[in-house]
Amino acid sequence: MENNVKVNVLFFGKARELAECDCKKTSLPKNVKYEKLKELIFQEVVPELQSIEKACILAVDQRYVDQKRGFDPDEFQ
Amino acid sequence: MDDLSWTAGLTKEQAGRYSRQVLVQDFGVNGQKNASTSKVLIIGAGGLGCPTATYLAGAGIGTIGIVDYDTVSLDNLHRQVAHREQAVGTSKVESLKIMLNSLNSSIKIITHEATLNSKCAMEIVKLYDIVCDCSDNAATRYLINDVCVLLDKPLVSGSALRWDGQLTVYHYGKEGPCYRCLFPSPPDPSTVTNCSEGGVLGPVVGVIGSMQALEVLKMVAGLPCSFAGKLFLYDGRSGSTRTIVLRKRSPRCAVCGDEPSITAPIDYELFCGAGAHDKIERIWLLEQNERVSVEEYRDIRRIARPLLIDTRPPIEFEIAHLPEATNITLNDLSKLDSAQITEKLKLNATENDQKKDLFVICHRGNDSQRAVKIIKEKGNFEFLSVRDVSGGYDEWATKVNPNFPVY
Repeated sequence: MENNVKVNVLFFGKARELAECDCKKTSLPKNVKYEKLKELIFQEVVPELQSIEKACILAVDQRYVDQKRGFDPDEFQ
Repeated sequence: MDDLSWTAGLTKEQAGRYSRQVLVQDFGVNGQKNASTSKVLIIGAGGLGCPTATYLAGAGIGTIGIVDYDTVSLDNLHRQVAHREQAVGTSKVESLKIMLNSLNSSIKIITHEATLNSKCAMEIVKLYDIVCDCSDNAATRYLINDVCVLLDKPLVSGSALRWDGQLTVYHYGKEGPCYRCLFPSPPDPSTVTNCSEGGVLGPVVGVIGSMQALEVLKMVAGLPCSFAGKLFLYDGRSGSTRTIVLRKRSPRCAVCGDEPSITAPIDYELFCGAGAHDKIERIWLLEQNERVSVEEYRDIRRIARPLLIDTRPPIEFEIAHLPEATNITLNDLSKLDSAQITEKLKLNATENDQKKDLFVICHRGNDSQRAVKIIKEKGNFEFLSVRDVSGGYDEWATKVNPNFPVY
């Protein structure tokens, strides 16, 4: 899909243990707000991580993301 | 001019002992002088605390405080390399103090043999300039974080499990985040794996502990910290490292925010729902008639070979197990359906009308109870009387077979 971008989701610590892999390839919308990104990761891409969702942090291109900063791959080009 | 006792920068003894680090550009005489007047607190005299304290003592940090409640055990020694075999069974803080004093007798070592808690933490931490979190549990991490923010002390935090290590400097500088800025909610205790369960490799804690010491040395030398507001991730298995740029201090943080709701230490065991240690806490999920003691199980297996499920991970099963045990992990039990479990156990429900006994065993008697519940919830096992072996292999080794390997 044109509005999507291919990403590698990397897991660390407990997330790696629960996901049972270091990395998962997936496709995410090019522009997405933090809450939606969280929902996609924890509900659809790796639902195994639901039990640790509240204790997880997300980083895009090795930079922390939160409510103020969503996922916009253009920002990193 | 009588100038025989005059020194410009360092004493003769300091120059002789520390010359190889004083010669390092940017550390220099200033770094050494600051080190000798610095007070650093190391919380946890274990895998991270040993290398952190050892390098800081070697470097001449003037006062090193060590906090730990625990005693040295044999299964600590592969990674807690400042302790010696002779110290097994003795206080960790005293053991570490002996080692540090033998490395550098010119510095002061203060021991705090205690569980760090809300009552004593402020009194202890206020005596020091910099704090190193070398602890192993969530409740202590939140406590240390809050106390460091309340007393305005920088916090050099390390952690390690299995092949992985992490390092961050919290509450450093005006906009440096604290642990709570990143993790406002504690993890669910059931999702936390500790070193007793997950294992950890010695050199991994060595890497992280050494890096904690290095961050402290930069701080005392007045150099910028490399990991303030950054999370260093070390994967010892692949040899790869990553540094994540973290957020700035959160204005909404409960402890370092603009309007903090936490102005004194709270009850961290209550907050985290878990004890301030990395020991396994016993649970009671089953009724008495759903359990057998290790002695009862010993008597049962003397008469006939029982059906036994061992729920531990295969790597633990490989260390040691009873000969009749079939290894089906707790995770597999959850995923498999009744027919698959029946097949794995080579069960035949139509053999006779009498109920068959099925026993479940694990390391310490917690997962075995969970497994009994899971099996009963599956249904289709009405022909089985399912019970767990209370206390697991640990108790088996204590009460029945002292030769059974304990780990």
